[in-house]
Amino acid sequence: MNTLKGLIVKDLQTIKSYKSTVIYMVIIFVVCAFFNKEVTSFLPIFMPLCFEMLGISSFSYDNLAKTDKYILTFPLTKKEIVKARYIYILIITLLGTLLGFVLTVITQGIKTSNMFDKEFLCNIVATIIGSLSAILFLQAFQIPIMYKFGAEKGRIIQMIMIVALMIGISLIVTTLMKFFNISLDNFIVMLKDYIIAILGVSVIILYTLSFAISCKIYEEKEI
Amino acid sequence: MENVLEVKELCKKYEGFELKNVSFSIPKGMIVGLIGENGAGKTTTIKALLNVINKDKGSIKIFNLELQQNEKRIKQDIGVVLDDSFLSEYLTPKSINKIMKNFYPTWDEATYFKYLENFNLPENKMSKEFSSGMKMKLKIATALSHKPKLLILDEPTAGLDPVARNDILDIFQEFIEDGEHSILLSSHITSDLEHIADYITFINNGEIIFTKSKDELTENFGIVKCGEDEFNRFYKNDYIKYRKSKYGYDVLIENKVEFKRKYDISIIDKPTIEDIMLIYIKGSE
Repeated sequence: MNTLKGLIVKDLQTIKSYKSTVIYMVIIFVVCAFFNKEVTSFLPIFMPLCFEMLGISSFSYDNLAKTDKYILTFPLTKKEIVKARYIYILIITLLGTLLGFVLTVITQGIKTSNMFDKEFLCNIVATIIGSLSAILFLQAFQIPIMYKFGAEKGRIIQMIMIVALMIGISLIVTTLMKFFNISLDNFIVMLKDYIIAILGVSVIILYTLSFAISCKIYEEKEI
Repeated sequence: MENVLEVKELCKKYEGFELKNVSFSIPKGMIVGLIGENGAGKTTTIKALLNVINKDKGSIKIFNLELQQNEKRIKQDIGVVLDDSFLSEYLTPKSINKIMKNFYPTWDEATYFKYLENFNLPENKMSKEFSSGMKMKLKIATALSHKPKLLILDEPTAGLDPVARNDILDIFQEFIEDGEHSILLSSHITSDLEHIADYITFINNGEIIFTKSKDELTENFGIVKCGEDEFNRFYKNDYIKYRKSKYGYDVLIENKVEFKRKYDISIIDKPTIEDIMLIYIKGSE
């Protein structure tokens, strides 16, 4: 347990040195959100996305100092290193999501003095569920890519992967819609009641698979 | 003598490079210097000893335990300094303490901060602002603060000025003083090892050429400087290797006294470890 904590603290301490950059980023985002008509969607989408990228950047810091080689001389296993990295990225993403939610509510409060409007809060929560699922979905692919190809090559490959995934998903959805002869609106209505369960289960399955694949890649990797 | 580390027949094959049946040991309380030119296999050997890379064959025993089955337990008692790898340079020594105390139950904060003080390392400055010597001292402070029994150091003096190198060698001497601690130190700067090593293990092209005590190397080994006529008198079996230069021959011999007696030679130079290494690598048989 302490080993995992040590690895997570290592990543958190490293990112601490970037705190001023993070603060500027948050301020710019809040200002943008303030002048944006779509208050409910801006911060809940971009804040977790940026924090997620911050989490993934831990691969780059490690690469820069060749930390992996050093860490492997500690009394720990490769599986623990992978596990800690997943937990760390998840913590950072959730932190971004929480910050996105709180700042959106505050921004709305300042703009309309109606911070706790039920419909408004529902909209934010819906946006957050959507964006968080998409990000976690993405992460499940990103992390094994980083382990396989390293921080430098991995960054390019993940871009290609994101585009490929988007095209792939839209192709599957349009094919399904054509097959069942339904429109996009109907498709969404159809899924409405199950969407949270579908998203939740898919993310858990993908994440578990992703973790197992990353462990295997890292176990076999020569550092 | 009790060994803290025993490597037997270690093999690891890469494309274009191979560790071939590497065997050597580290006696308790001693400093063993692993020497060889760049690319000879020093770092690969160290990486295999720490299970950072998977070996193809061979056995590694540390503290009398098989490394493969007792990796975590063994690593609790090893401190490591690697030339090219450490924690992020964006960390301060203070934050390194917060990280390291989670990995080692024996991590001693007081010892760590004492080292920082002795080495004049500022606690709250990012290590990227440190000089090479300071960075190395930080790595050493980090490696020593969980009170390891064995230190494994890969090129700890590379790129340092003579003063910093001397400081660092003093730290190592202090570490083994009580006879309970041991060091494996790889370096291509052989003069450093002449100062502190008790044993020298020489690796070339992935193969161990010899492991000998430093005193044996500097006292028994010798270099005969001679011309062609004199060289032609020597039997092949009586010397190890020779180097021919435009001024004559440098002949490396293993038993100075015996050679002197047999060939009636009055002057035989005392070789440095660098001389021995050079003739072994560049010389002919």
